[in-house]
Amino acid sequence: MKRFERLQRLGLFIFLVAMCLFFSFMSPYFATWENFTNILVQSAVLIIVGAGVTLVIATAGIDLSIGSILALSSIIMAAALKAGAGLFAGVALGILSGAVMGLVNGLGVAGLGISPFIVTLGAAGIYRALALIFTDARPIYGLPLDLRFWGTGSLGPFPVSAVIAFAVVLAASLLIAWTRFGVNLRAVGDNPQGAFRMGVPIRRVLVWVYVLSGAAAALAGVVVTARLNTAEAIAGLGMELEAIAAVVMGGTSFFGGEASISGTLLGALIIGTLANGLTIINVPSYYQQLVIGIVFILAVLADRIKRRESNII
Amino acid sequence: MINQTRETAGALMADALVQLKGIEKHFSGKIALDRAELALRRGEILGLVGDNGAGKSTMLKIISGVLKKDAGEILMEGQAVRINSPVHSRGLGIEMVYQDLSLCGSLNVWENIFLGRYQTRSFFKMPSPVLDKRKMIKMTVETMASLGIRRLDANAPVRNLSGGEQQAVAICRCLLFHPRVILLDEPTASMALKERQKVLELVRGLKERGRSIIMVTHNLEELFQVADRAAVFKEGRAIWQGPLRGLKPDDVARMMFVGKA
Repeated sequence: MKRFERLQRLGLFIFLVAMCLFFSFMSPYFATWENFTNILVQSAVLIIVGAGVTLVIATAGIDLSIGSILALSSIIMAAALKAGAGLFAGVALGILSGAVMGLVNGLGVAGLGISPFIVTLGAAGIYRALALIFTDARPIYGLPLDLRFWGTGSLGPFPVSAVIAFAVVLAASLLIAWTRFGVNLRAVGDNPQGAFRMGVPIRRVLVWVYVLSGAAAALAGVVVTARLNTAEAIAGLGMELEAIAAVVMGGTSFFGGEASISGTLLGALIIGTLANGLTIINVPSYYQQLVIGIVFILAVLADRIKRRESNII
Repeated sequence: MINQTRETAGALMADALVQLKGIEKHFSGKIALDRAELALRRGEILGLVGDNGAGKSTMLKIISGVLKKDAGEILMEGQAVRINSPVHSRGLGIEMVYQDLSLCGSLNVWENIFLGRYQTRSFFKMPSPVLDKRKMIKMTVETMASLGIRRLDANAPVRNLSGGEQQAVAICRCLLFHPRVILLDEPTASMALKERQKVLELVRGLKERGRSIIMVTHNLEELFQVADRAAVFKEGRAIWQGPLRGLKPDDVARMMFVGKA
């Protein structure tokens, strides 16, 4: 089991390196520091969102509303900033609003006992509609210049957005491996009845997982808005597929009970590198979706094989 | 025989550690327990036997707090207690090893053993949610060793263990917090003979440590191997409770299926 996970992780790493070598061979513009920085910036949003989704999938749940939460929370943040709120207050409000949207999802799943697929699919429609209604489908631009630092600034040689992403990865890794909450969430995903019998507060764990996923999506919304200096209601459209693909590709099981943030990081970097490399070698963007879709299905198949080898299904 | 055992059950009430009186439980209108009575003495192994659906496991789950009773009373050392959740029963020193073991396959041995009751670190004398893994692994290894299990890796995922090893993990989990009462729901179900004997040895070992045990079983041979007394359940009631000394498995089987000895 552990051997399979190590092999899977190593396989992903080799795949990432092979992809980099391929794109370097195909284009002289790929293997440059500037382009690697671009990949980090492009992947940062997916890494942040993916960390939240990893927690959800580890509980055998799913969050299809992350793209909509990203959009609505960034609209709320932008509206607050335009209304004169300070930078810190605006960003905090944006993240808080994402957490509240996650709370609504969590209460639907844990409180009402509705399937996470249904709750978050419905919520995705509602949050996206609210973002469109609130902005009349027009982008909000002309935000304070200080905000741009979050999306385009640098800390030494590293882009700020990448630093934020790696901080989120570190925090999520520590949460999963070193806290009561981390063991509880994997237990809830593996055997909810057994976890309940052992005194794990399964409803509370589920609610918190969706709150954290919502907050992570909102933080990603801050980075997207800061990078473009614009908040728009269509931001994050289709991000669910990429995020779930990154998570499952990284070894977090769709069936719950396992969570690998380092795997999600690798998965997100692979998707980011793929998008960047295909653009550099002039492959149209819709082929990128095709490749991500195929990679996603392959990752789910690998997950099933892994579970079958362990006699779980 | 039945008259004699009614007297025995009545006499038990005075020195019972756990006593259940008039317990009722319904599932969607169907009666699972019908004013059932049960008493467990200190330091004994009480076997619960009966046909499928007789109410044995339901009784155990009510004591463990997984199910809530519809009516009746639970007494511990003569005092009425409320058990509304597994957390309540654990707080009273009652642990249960479930028939399905309630283990999480993808979690490792120590994570399963400490599930819901983690040892955490404190920083600057302040409690924190950070796990004290070293302490939990050490306690796991020590408790396993005290049960005679020395070759089990505390970091191994539980799904990689054999049925007997998983049963040992479940028993180790309930022992770690020094319970007074241990409930075992068919601890040897679907096990090979060799593993079955190991588990029965573990159960006897629990009694030697002074634990009081209620064990549900379908296997009368096992019942006579480990239990001091038995309660025969039929149609939601304990129709007989008494010591097994002087009885044969056939006597108990007759009570299970005919309703009298």
